[in-house]
Amino acid sequence: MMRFSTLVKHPADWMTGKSKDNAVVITSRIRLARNLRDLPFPGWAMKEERKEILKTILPEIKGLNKMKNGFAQELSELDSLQKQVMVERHLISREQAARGDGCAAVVNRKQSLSLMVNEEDHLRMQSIFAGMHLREAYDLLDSIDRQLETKLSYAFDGKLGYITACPTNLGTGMRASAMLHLPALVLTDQIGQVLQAVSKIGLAVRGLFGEGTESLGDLFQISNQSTLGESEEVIIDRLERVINQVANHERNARLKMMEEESDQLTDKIGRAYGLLKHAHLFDSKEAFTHISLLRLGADLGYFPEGTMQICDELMMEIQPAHLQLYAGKELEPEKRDLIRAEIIRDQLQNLDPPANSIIENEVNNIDAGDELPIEPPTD
Amino acid sequence: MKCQFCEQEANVTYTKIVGDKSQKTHLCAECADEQGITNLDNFSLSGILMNDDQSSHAEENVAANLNECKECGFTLENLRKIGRLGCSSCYDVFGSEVKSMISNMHKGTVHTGKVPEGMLKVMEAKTKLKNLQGKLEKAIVNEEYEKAGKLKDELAKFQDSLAVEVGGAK
Repeated sequence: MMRFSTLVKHPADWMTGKSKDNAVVITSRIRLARNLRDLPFPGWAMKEERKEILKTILPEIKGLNKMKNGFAQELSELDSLQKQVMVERHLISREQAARGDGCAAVVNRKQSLSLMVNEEDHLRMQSIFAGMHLREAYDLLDSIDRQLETKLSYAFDGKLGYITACPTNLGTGMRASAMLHLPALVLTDQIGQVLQAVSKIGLAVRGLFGEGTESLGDLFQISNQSTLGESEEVIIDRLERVINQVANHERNARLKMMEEESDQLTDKIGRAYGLLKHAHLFDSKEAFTHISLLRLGADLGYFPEGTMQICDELMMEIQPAHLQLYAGKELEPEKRDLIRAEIIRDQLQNLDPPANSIIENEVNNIDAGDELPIEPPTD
Repeated sequence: MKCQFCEQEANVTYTKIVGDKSQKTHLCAECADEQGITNLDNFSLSGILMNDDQSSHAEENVAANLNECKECGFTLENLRKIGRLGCSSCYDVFGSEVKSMISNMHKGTVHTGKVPEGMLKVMEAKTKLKNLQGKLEKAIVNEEYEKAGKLKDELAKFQDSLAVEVGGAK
């Protein structure tokens, strides 16, 4: 099995953007909640009961062929910083990180699958893919779920479906979500309208870390709210349709800005580049704001290929726990700002400024034309 | 809420007042019939009981008697405070409370998605068993003894086949 140090040394598959269609839809995620029959849910169970539950579930999930050579860890053996790193990587939830004994996480080698024991429910399974791939993410989890259901006795009711600790997850126990990068909709002030429309049809919109978190770096998470009364298929269908629509809005807004406000756009991206490359102190929020613009620039051809992946890795690396892991010690917030700026400068040191190529293009255009671009003054 | 005599949904509440204490009994329509509570010939109050709003009864009963899960000790107060339940059995105990919660949360109230493979068989078998038992009881009540005999055979045969399947799986 993999060690914690190995796990954090390697970025997850979805972070390195091995699929190239993740400019707007960064990741797709599916989560399934399952519980064992007649045993108290983790939040109500005694310590000893939680350990019993762990003993029942852990061998089964470790034994899955898809989790071979993965990372399996009882959370009580990790310190709070290590747990926070896993939260920032979306491998465990905040709630689970806060809970003590009897909790564990099993993560596969690619970090595309994460199985959590004794989170809010006895078992929560998550798969995460780069780009718009909700269906693939679901199919992968479904195959694991089918293997496990023959070994574990799930709490299931004919009417209520999969029984969960919180009634909000009853039925399918499935939360499907996508993380979207929507800088153009934010810049053109259309974001409010779009998100309002999304929530009106019963889908939830949240910030980077789910419930109750604010949006950083123009990142938004869209997910289903209702889990009962519709099949997994129907839920994913609707979500996919809506997400594609939002992504199209974003793409159109990007193109429109390129056409109609290209100077302002270039200016914004250039300023973000300058600040990121030369600033000495960065709090999270400011850093995310500029990295977001750099990422937008990468998609629109201002920067060479691979820049978007650098942005995605940066968004992970500059988060508080990752920073402190990098520094090798706990840091005061002011110190973090210093290290954050250092990491960013270091990552971007070989990145050329965005403006040059665009000016050359315009000069070439003018040379090619026969007429002078400026009309002579008339007296 | 389940009938105290069988596993079916209870929709009759029988309140008996002894001295200054009241005692409540929850029954399904069939058992209520059997106990003579809703049989008009035997019990004159039945009409009033049957016409009562069943849901308000159910809620009242949860508060009165069943505000704690026997399996895990979770209480109705806990549920109202934290919005989550204690174990899978809590969903039976606090059924009516949960029902009122989920109607505002979800697109529907009945699961239409995936069913664990083994569970599908068990659920189908349960429904069939219940059906047969219901038919059998009805036949006996209606004094259709020939039909009842056939149903009894069918029931026994079905139960045997289930036993074989379960035994085989192990």
